[in-house]
Amino acid sequence: MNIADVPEELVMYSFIYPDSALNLFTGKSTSILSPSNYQLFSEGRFRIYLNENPLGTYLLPKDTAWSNWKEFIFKAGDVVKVESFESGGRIITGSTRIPEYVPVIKIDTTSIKSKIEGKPEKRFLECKLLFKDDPVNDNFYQLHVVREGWGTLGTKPYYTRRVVSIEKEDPVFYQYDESGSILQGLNFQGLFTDYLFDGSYYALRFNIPETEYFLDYYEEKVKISIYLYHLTFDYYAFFRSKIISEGYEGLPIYESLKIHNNVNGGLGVIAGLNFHVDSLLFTK
Amino acid sequence: MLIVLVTAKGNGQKLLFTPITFQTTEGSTEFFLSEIEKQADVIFSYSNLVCFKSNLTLINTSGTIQSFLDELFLNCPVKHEIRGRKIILEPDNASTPRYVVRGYIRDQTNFESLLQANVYDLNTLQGTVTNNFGYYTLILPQGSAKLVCSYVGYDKVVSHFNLKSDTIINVSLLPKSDLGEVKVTGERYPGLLNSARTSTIHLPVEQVKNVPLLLGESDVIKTIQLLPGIQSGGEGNAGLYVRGGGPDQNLVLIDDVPVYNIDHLLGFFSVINADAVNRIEVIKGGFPARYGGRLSSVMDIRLYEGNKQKYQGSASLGLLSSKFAIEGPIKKEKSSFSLSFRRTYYDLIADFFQDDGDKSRYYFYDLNGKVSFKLSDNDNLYISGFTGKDKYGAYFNRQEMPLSANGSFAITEDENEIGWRNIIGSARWTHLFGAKLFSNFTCSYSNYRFDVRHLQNYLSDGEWNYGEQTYFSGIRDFTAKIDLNYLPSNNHHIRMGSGLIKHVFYPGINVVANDVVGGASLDTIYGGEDLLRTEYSLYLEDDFQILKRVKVNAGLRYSSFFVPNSFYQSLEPRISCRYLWGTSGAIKASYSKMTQYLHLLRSSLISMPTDIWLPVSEKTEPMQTTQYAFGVEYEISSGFNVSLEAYFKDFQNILTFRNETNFFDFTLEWDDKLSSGIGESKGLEILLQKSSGRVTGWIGYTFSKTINQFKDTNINNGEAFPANFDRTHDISIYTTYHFKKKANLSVSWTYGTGSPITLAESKYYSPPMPTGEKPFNHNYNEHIDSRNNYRMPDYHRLDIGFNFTKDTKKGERLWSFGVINAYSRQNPYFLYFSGSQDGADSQRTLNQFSLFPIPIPYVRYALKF
Repeated sequence: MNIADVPEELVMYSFIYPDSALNLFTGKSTSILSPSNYQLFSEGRFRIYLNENPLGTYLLPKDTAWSNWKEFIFKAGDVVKVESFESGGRIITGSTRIPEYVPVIKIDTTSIKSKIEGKPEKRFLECKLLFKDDPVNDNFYQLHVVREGWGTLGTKPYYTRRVVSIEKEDPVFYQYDESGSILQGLNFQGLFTDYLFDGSYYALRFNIPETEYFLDYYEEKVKISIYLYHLTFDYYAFFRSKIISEGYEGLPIYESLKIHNNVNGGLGVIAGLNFHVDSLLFTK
Repeated sequence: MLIVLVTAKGNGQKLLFTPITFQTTEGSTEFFLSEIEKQADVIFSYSNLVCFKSNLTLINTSGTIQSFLDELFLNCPVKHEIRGRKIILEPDNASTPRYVVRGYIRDQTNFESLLQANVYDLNTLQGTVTNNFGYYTLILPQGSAKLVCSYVGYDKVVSHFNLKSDTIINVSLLPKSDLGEVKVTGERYPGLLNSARTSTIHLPVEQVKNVPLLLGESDVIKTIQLLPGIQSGGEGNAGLYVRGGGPDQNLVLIDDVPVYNIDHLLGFFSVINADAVNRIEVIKGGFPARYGGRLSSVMDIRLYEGNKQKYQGSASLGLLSSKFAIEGPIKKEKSSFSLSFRRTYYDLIADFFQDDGDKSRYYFYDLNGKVSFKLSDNDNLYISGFTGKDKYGAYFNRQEMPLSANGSFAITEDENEIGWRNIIGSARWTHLFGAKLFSNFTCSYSNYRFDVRHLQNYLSDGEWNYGEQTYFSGIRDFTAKIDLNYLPSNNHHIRMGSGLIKHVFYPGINVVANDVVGGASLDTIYGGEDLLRTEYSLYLEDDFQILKRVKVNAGLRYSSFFVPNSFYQSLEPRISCRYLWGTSGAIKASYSKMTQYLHLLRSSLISMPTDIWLPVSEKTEPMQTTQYAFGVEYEISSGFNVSLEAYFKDFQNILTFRNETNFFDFTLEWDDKLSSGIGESKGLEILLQKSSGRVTGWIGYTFSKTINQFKDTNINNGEAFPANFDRTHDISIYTTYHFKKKANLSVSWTYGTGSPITLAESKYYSPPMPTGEKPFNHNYNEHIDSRNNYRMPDYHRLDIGFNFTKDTKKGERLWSFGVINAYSRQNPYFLYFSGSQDGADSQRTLNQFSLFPIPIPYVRYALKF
């Protein structure tokens, strides 16, 4: 069987959040049989609009697909539009609105001893994160927990940072129970929607295992940062469809999945997001 | 067809007005008829019940054929029918008293009911067939009757009697001791031409047993897949794709009870054990009103009742499984039982070759049972049951767990299991109300369940604990229904009935159990709220004769389905008609509308036990089809038939997953993941079938095209695309050569255009997520622009088998040998992309995985006693 040669398409990505620079990917698709996963623009420019006002047109670098533009700083509520022009005359366009952050009103924690399915008894920090959902729009969220540790190893200062693997106890993580949502399998990495609590206050429940806030012998301080990301639909949909498409890719009898796109004239995603973070500090 | 009828009728009437002149007014009836034959170039055909007089006097010497016939049979009226230049005269019995002749047709040796046996009166040529309980009713004129009962493989029986009142004639037929010429599908032909219905095939069970199949497992469903218009989902798949419909659109009935999953071993075999089956009817179109609830086909399977005379059994030994069947009387000639069991033994053999550490185990079994009781001349009771199960388990992480302080240990293993099973049962009571009304009351239960289980043992603070997680889903049906058969005259067979089904869907339940040895178990249940839905149906159907050559089966079915806060209803008209063409042909046409209130949420590209049955909801409307079929059937010679049938079928509210989601996307409600659309399937089917002589079998060819189009314009850019099961050309050749009385060679060859498949043509960069817990597996996405944009390579396969039977002192033994995929065709099971590094050059290729790349031999030994 032969796979048809199809014309390459323009590809553009940018995930935009407040107080950050613009990170822009521009490239082109390749044949499915190609060893490389993308091609660079041979020559190109991009134009950026902030709240419908053009900020300028810029030359894209030739040697890299990612470019970083520190001159642009964004804030919540901004509508950002990016147009990229390839030398051949093709244009790819995408836009997004940076959502407002959803404040974490409070986090209640309780130390509990718990048995978890098929695992030895463990201590957990049971957390309840209270926030209020916007009643007007459909809202998309991600819970993300990061552990940072500071200490001294030998004589040198030592710093570690890793993503915490939390126990996602809350029904928002398996809200559609008709689908057998907690069948072992896909990890949606804390993504959830306001389906169960639309427009109201909600106390999100999750457990942090003791191993995550336990201080190692060389550590003097551990900080657990709990991020509540407020996502645009496009960010959420891209992330979700990518997780699903990779979920069972080792089993060829499973159907291929189309990945979410929101750009015109090509492939990719321009999507905004925002977050609020609260922290728990543990010291020796 | 109407034009043909009107023209034929018009030409016939003209013939009757042909002028005739006799030389004399004196003579016998025979003399005058002979004179008319000479002058008008016609031929008279008449039964011996027509009154002939040796001497009569006419009033005139000139007139027409019509006027002379009226005069010749003045005191003994006749009806006449014109076929070309032939005039058939029959006594007009309108004024003669008529009585009901009824009874059961059974096998004389075991009292097994013979279903669809032919019964007709030689004098009046009135006939019928027995129903699914072996019961018939015929209305005949008073006087001498010659009732002929026949059934394939049995000596016919002619009963002479003088009919004076309603009469019960139960007939027992004796199997032919020497078949002479081998005839395996003989009963189909009278029924084929006589029946008004299109697209219906009766598959002889004996033929099913001769088809060479993987590991020698005779399989009803695999044999059905060899018929035109019916396709498999691919290599090794038991899914049935009938006239563009999916595997969820087939109503598989075992003794009137629906079975929701017919697969063993992920579809390589079906759950229907051919040893337990009495009769198989496959309906692809022209559905009678008594059937409903699915769009594309009905597989009506009837199990053996059991021998009412003596005990008998059979046993067989194959590479994959062994089977055992036994039947016999509970009370001679009054009640009987039949029981058949099949089980694989891979797990038993594998135990010998696996050490005490990691082990895997697979088995399936099925058990069929049926008891029947004759309660009185008018009442019979049938209780039947079936259960089948598949289970795969992996056992690993063998540990010694301390039981107490004294140092004793217990051996534990962690377990992963996956399994599915059907349990069905039914009780049916048939009762005769008077002479013309046959009733069948059925209560049934059907339960399909799929489950995954994981068990882990562990030590915690010196205590031996275990954790267990079980996920299961399925559907349970409770059905009560009544079917009535009423025969007001031989020209009308009215069926009516009503049914109520309580569906209980349990689409996903998760039970987490934790236990500390010596302590209480803690079970936590997540999700899986039972969905209770009620389906109601009512039908009326009449099989009637409009004209001598024209028969119609017309009916209407009403159904309703209740969903929370709403309900759906549907009115489904059905009509099939047949026009007899000459003495050997029939032209048939049908129209049927079907509605289906259940969806099967597909978990993969092929039919899998993990697929979930779900009801329609407020967001997903019932699927519907309208099908038109037109066909010609012709009997070339006795036992040698050809049929050609064209069909057109449109689908409404069919479902597919939206872009960017699939079965495993648990971030969306299941009905939000789906988009509804329309479909269209059209095709031409040819079946050339030979049922007698040394060479029997069939050649089937199907040309078809099936497309789908969905409301969501993101799906294939809103354009129509080939359906998943679209196959342009499909050829099946199956033949059995009986080179000796007790030995035969069976060959089957199948060819099919490759199935559509969605393949990415390009890929593009995929960035890491700024909020991701972990990076993706790949930094690229496959770009899928359109659905089913490619086709797999064409499929073809040759299977060869030999069957040798020998009589033994105690019964009969059978050896079967054969080979599957005789010429090593590498048919694709799936396609996949892979990359390789060859020196400095890396490359990616599209590859094919074949399930049976080499010839696979089989052997089976069977014994009947």
